[in-house]
Amino acid sequence: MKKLKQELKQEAKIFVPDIKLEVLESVGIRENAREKKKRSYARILVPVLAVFLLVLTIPLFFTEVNAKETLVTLNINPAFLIKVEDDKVQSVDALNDEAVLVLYDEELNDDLVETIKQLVAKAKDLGYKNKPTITAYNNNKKIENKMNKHLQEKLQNCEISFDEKISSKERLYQRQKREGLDLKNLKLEDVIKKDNDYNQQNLENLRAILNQYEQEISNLNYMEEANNLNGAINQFMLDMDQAINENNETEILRRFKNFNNNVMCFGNPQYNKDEIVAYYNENKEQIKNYMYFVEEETNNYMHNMRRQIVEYLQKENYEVVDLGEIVYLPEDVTEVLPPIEEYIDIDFNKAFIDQLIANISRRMRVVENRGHIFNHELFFIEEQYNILNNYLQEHETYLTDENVSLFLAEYELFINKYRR
Amino acid sequence: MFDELKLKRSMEKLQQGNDGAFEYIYDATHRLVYYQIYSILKSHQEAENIMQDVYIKVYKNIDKYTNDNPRAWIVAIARNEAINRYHKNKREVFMDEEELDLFIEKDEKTPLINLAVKILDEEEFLLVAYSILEDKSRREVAKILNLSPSGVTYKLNLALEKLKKEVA
Repeated sequence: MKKLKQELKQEAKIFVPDIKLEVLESVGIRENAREKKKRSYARILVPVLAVFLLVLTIPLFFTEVNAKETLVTLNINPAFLIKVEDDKVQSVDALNDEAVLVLYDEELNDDLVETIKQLVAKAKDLGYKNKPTITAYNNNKKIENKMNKHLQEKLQNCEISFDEKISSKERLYQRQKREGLDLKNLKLEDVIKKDNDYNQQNLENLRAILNQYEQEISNLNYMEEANNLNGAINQFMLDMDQAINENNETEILRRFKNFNNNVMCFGNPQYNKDEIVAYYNENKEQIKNYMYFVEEETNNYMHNMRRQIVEYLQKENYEVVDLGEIVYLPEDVTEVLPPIEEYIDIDFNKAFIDQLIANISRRMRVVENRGHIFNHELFFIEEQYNILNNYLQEHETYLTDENVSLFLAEYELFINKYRR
Repeated sequence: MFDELKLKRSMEKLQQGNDGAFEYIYDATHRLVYYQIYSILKSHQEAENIMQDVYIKVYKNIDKYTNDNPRAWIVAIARNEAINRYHKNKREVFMDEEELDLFIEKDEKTPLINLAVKILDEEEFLLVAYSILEDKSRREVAKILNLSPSGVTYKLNLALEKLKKEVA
């Protein structure tokens, strides 16, 4: 086994590729490595060419750059780029996701001061409390200063700061490009909408759902107890296997007696080594299964609980953002819930019912093979059946399911035979 | 090695807009992410593509990270992405020959891991990958895979036995 592990570790060294550079590039954190390399070649050539081109194109700059076009940036955390021409707003672009949210459904007019006031007010409504920062930029310094002064005068009552310096128009566009914002294609659904509507009552309702499930889970105390004892079961099997291999009679008797008394009761068999070994080997699978179904059962309850919470939130018109299989809940709600990872592509009802049936059937088969039932088994089977029955009453459509109807008939016969 | 606390702090920093933290997040998780994707898609080419998508998603959705278990969160996104790709994979995938050679060559160098992917189910493979290949503690693996530590020990032993039997 040690050799196998070592060989696996050796292979692992080359198995996983490192694509850090590509990943960092794709999220815009690091510039393209190839471009970087290219640029190092061009380090000497480019300035020379640039000076040459500049000399040639100076006249073009003066004619092509529209001195009247002013860019105004507004940053409240949502960040906007406002293009102004002839003192009129030509366009307002979002520079981040938050700004998309602010712009959504907003009708803006062409008055710059009004537009800024409107955006600041909407952002404030959405809960952004930062002091807005505004900078006007124009290729002509005189126009730029004039615009900044004009905005400062008009907005002096709005608690706006004017101290941010933006070096160039190009830098802004690059940032927009780097952040991959394509406003036409950006879906609002991709952005979590912060909903401030949920109140104490909503949280209490959610807590009630949570408590109800927690209650049900803890009601299965037999299972929960066993769940905690998974480690003990595992250890018991390792110890027993070792004791049997070594043919250590004292150890076999001690281990089994201890396990039978403290963990999982097999009734009261004769403490005779050969019988115990035979009994242990015969029931080994069952002991293993015991570990699994307990975990599965609890997980089912957890899944079901989360599904109900999501349904509840959707009914109450919360924005529950669904990102494939993972559902994100509003922040305040997650405070009272365990981490939310809801798998929504499954028919949970069916999965839950099938799971219960499988658990009960497994236990029933063991009892049938043995020919008699222990109290704890009867308790377990009836408890599980009650859960199943209640669930089926609530989801009647599953009663016609072949698997379900066959099981119910089988259970009826079983319980009549073994109930005392 | 990468510690849990530093990873959590990096997630918080990224949430606050410190892009520098992203590099650490990648370093601390990319191997786990790759195993998760590979266990579903069983193709290096696909896994590399998806790994990139996963981190773009992590970066873009960092504000939505609310739980206390960053590795599990990122691995869950990876699983989700891989499953989506798996369902879409009916379409043909084109690969140039040079690229294909590279991946075949890589496959030849990792026969044991390839065998593990083939004969073990997703959970068993991840148990082997995280516990043995990445030397993570049982507790860490349990947290990522949502199992109990004793369940990890037990299932890992079963998976290794299965693998050993096949190798022999």
